Amino acid sequence: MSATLEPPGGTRGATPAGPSALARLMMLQRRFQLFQLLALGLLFLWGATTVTDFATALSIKSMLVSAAFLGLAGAGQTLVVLVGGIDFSVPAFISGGAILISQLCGTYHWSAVAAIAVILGAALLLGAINGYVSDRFQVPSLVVTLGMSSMITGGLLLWTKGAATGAAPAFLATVTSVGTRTFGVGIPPLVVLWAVVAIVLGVTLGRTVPGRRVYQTGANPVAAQFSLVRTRRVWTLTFAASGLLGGILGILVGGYTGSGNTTLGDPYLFEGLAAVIVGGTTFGARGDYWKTVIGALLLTVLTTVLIGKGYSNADQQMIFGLLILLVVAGYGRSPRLRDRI
Amino acid sequence: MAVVDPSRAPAAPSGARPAPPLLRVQEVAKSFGATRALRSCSLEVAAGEVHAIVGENGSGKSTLVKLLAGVHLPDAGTIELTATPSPGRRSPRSVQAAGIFTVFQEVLVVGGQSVLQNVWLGSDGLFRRSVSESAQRARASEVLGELLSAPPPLDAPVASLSLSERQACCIARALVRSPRVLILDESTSALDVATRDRLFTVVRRLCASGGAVIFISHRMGEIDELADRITVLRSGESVASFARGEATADELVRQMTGSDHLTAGTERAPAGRGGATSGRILLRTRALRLRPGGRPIDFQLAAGELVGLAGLEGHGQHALLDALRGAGAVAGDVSTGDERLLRSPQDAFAAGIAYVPRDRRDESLFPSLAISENFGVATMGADRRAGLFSRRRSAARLANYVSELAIRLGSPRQPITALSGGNQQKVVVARWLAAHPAVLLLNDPTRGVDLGAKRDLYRLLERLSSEGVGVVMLSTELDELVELMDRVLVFREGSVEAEVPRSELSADGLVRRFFGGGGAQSDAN
Repeated sequence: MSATLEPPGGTRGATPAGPSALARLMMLQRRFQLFQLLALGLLFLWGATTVTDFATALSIKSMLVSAAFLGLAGAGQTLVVLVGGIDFSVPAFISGGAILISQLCGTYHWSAVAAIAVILGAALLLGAINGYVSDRFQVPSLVVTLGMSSMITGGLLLWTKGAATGAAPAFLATVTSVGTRTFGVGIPPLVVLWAVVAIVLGVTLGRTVPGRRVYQTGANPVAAQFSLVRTRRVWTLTFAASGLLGGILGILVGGYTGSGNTTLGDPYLFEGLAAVIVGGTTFGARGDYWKTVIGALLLTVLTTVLIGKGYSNADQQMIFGLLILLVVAGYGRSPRLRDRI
Repeated sequence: MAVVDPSRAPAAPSGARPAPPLLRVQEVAKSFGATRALRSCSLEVAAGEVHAIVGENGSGKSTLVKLLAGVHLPDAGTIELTATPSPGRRSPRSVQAAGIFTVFQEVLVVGGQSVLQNVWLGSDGLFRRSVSESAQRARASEVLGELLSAPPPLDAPVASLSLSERQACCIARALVRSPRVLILDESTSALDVATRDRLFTVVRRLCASGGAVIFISHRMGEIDELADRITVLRSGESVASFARGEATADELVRQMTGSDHLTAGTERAPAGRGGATSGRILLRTRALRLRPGGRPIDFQLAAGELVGLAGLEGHGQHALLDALRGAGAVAGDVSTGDERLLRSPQDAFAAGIAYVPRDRRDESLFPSLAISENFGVATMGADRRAGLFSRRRSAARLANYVSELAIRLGSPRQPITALSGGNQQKVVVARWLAAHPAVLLLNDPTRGVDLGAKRDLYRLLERLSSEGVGVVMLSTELDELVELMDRVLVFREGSVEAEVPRSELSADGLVRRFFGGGGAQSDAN
């Protein structure tokens, strides 16, 4: 290991005066996502001052609802990226959840509770298979989850004979609507649900032993095994959680759009991943779900401003891509890499 | 096979002292952010000389090497290769073009590529070879043949080689390019004894033909054997320079540490022991076979015993440690003193057996995680408060070991990569001590660790054994085997070649047994 990085007060004797301003800024960036928060604030201000009706209660609520969808799409992905994988089957879980909730409740007249139980159970199981297979057979999760995605989509097409029918239960439309109040408070229930998911994930990842196992496995799987961490279990459960979160989001998307189809989930793959990366979670177990929450808010505000300024969908995609490149390039500049020889 | 005693054989003196310096380093300094890795370092390397650089971890040796290799540029001072004009802006490429080649401390190989590709790594352009393939093959087999008694096939994947052979490939990578100045940064720590001796022969020949070698090692025996001149670095400054024979080992240690409190012997008083080892059995193996056809091993570890495992790289000592930590063997079984069978590492850990793996970076460290979490990973249950994991509690537990192991750290919330190698290793050892093991298994724990940290570790092992902990330690350092162990098992071809009790331990005797020779009596032959 290189001897270039030493703790203050190490063998070198005299303690340096303290970290430089730049080093302090970098530390703040690592801990609080200074750059992202600043960008979020500035974008919002820009929108509020230049786009009509940008900062009204309704507009803010609808941005929060969009961000909630995006943030939920990035939730499972955050877990999977932290453990060192990637989950390309999230869109299939979303489409599957949406189609099943519509078809089971609308066409087959199941109760919503039964349909939700079946969807979540299946999502957990299929997600677990993703994680188990990629760890057991040492196949990159990208490949395994692409395969899973293809299988789920194919299965749904077969089952629905290409045309999904039915409608999601009406209460789901209420839950996901911008205008609904939660227990009399003027916040949409979906946003409250997102906040609950964020708190649960935040606490689980940061403050529970299973959550820390995710980081340890992602930071160095070999060392984790030597430290008696059951890494296969960690992978299996992490991907199961990603599947579950995809299933939940699918049910909500089904409620929001009223019905399902097999391409419904597609936009969530890139955008969810973008929220994770722009938020600052990177491979090698750096990051947490709070960062993804910020990323989702940032991307939503950006989209809203761009739409307000009349930019097309194509422009937005280009700007998203550029943003990802910028963030990734920024992280690639961390001095550690340079000193790793 | 020429067996050179690695610790005491006299080197052929290279004579010609007033030769002009080949490389001159003047008052170079380098900082990384707020950390001043090098303050002022000056040295002159003459043609024909092996110039050793010694210093504790964090004294700036690796930084100096990276400056010489062109990886970093100095903030101040000059580096001149006197025979050739300054090659413009220093970069690894321009430095190599001037004939300076470096073998870094880490074993840097591309696992999926062949031996040949690894040896010539970086020499070819994207579309054109700089040297024809037949010439590459000839040169590679020539150099590997000098370094290894049984060189691997050139087309074998490097991933199939032992650690020692991989390091030999890294050294060959420098040698095939016929260096004028060869820099060996701790390159011997991964080598087995035989390969190291062969390397020393190559080094002497390189010097005899007018080249020079800059040699960095934590092993005083190697420095003694090889170095014509020794420069001591302390806290980023070159504080002294001695010609061969001018300084005793104690003098060097004093220069390195800036005080002589560490020179007090670590040798255990034999009289103080004896009673402790007659304790109960903690761990035993029955008819354990490490490879098909190997002789069965019936090994018992008593409370308070310190057992060393030694041998040439890959002769079974590592496999025994794996078996003892519950990771399985070819045949036979491992059980605790009270006859609990160990079927998995989890079983073993539950039975109070802790294992410190060999490769710190690959097998122990979580680079992106905090020091406190790196410490607490194996014992996280103890950091739970009301079901939640408490970082503060983890840091508080770590504090118990900071003074005992003399770990130098700023805040436990810093990433583990902020520590020097020796301190990282101490955190890893503390990780397993925190589990209060009955048996501690260590796989070459002092590899690449400075003298001060080594002595801290020796003191710890002595304390553990006096408290009745059984210790099994694989070591590649003869001195620590001889000075520290109650007995040493010497491995050869997957079996225990000999079991040497403390009273008969000597460096020469151990090395002879590595090669299948007998004990002291074979001197007569």
